[in-house]
Amino acid sequence: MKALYFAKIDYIKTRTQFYLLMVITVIVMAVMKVSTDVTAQVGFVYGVFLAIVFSTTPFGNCTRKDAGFQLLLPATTLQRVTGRFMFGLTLLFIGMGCGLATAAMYGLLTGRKETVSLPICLFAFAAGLVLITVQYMFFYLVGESKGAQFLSLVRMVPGMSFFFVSMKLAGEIQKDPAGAARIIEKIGGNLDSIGWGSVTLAVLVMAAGILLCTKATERKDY
Amino acid sequence: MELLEVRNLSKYYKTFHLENINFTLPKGYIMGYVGQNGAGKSTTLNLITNICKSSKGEVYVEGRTCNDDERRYKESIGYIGDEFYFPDNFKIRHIRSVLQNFYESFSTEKFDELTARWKLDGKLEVKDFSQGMKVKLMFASVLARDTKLLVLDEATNGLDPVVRAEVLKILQEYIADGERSVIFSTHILSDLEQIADYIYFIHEGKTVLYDAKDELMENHLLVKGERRAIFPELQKALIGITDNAYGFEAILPSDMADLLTSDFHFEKPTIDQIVIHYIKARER
Repeated sequence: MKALYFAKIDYIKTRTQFYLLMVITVIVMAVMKVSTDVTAQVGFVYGVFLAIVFSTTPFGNCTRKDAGFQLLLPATTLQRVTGRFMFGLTLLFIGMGCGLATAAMYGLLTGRKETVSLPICLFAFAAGLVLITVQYMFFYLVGESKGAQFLSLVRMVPGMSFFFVSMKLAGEIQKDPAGAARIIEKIGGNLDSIGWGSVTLAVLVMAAGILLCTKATERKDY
Repeated sequence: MELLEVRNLSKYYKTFHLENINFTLPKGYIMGYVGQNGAGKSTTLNLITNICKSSKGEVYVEGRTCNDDERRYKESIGYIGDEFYFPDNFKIRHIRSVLQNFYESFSTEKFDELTARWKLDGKLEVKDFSQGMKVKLMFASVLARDTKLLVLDEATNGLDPVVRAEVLKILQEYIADGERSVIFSTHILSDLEQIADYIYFIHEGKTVLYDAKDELMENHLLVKGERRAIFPELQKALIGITDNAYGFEAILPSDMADLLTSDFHFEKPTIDQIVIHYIKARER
C-alpha cells in the first residue's frame, strides 16, 4: 500500500504534465483528421510514446531535498522504489488509454473502420514497460538526483526509439500486408498468445528492475 | 530515562570524518548541537534521522535502532531542516494528504488548526511561501503527529527575531510534558542559551565539549587582561587566547581560577564565548 502512496507523491509532483498529455492528445486527433496518410495506430503509438517520456519526470523534479523528504517517511527502500515503478506502470496505462481514445476518435472523424488490435496493445505495453524499466534503472544506478542531469537524453532516446521503430513496422506492414501475414503464419499464427507472453516477460523484467534498483539505492547514501 | 542514545557514531567520507560521537539525551530536555560550518552537525543529525547510513556506531531512540523497527523509529522522529523539504509545487492539502497516508499518528484536525493559526495560505504552492511560513509549515507537519524526538538542523537560520522567538516557544511547549526531547543545531548560540539544557560541541568531526549548559557555564571563566601579564603556567591553562585593542581575552577552566592574580579581570562567559575560544584553540 505504501508503494502506491509513493506513486501518489509522484502524481502530485508531476500533475501539470497531465494537462499537457490531454492537450497533445487533442492535437494528435486534429492532425489525424486533416492528414490522409496516418492510421489509427499512429494515435495509439503517440499515447504510449508520451507515457514513456513522461514517466521519467519525477526524476527530473527530484532535488536532493525532495529525496530527503521521501527518506524521512516511515517506509522501506523497496516500497519507495516500487512506488516509482507503479507510477511508471499506471502512467503507461493512462498513455495507452489516451492512445486508444485517439484511435477511436480517428474512426469517428474519418469514417474508416480501423482499430488497434489486441496484439498491438500487448506488444506496445510490453515494449513500453521494458523501456520504462531501463530508464528507471539508469536513474537509480546513477543516483536519483544526480541522474537528473541526463534527463533529456534518457527520457527522449527510449521514447523516440519506440516511436520510430513502431512507425517503421507499421509502414512495412502497410506496404506488404501479404508478407506480414506470411511472417505471422511462420511464427505460429497466434499473435495474441505471443503478445501475452511478451507482457509476462516485461512484467518479470520490471520485477527484476525493482529488486536491482532497491539494492542499488540501499547502498547509496543521501 | 534516555530518549536518545548515540554510541560511537562515525561516518567516513572521502574528505571528512565524523568520529566517535557519544551522548545521551534524557526525556524532557533540549540539547544544543553546535559547531562551525562543516563541523559535522548536519551529518550527525542525518545519521540520527537515518537519512544517511553510519559507517560505525548506533543510534537508539526510545531504546530501538532504525534496523529494529524502521516504521516506529521514523514515526517517533520529527525533522525540521534549514532547507524546506516538501516538493515546491505541493499545496498544503497535498502535504496533509501525504502525511496522513504515511503516519499513523498524524492528526488532520491538529494540522489544520496549526496551519490556520499560523495563517498559512492553502491556495499557494509552497514555493511561494516566505521562509518563516515554510518553517511554520514544517513545524505544523511535525507537531500534528505523536513524535518523541524533534531534530532541528539550523531551522531558525534566516528567520526574523519574532518568528525565532515563536519557534523557541514551540520547542519549550513541545518538551513540557517531560516525555519528549529536542536536539537542535544552530549558529545562533543566544537561542541555545535561552532554551538548551545540554550542549554538545563538535569541531572538524570530533567532540570538543559535552555537558549540561549550566555546568559548562559554571566550569569556565572568561579572562581579560594585558598580554604581558600572562605567565607561563597561566599561558598553558588559558584556552583560545585572542588579542584585542585592550589586551587579551581567553577562557579558563574554573578549577584553575587560583592562577588568576589581580592583574586579570574575569567573568562568567556566554556559550558563544566558550565556543569561540575553543575553536580558536583548535585552530592553532
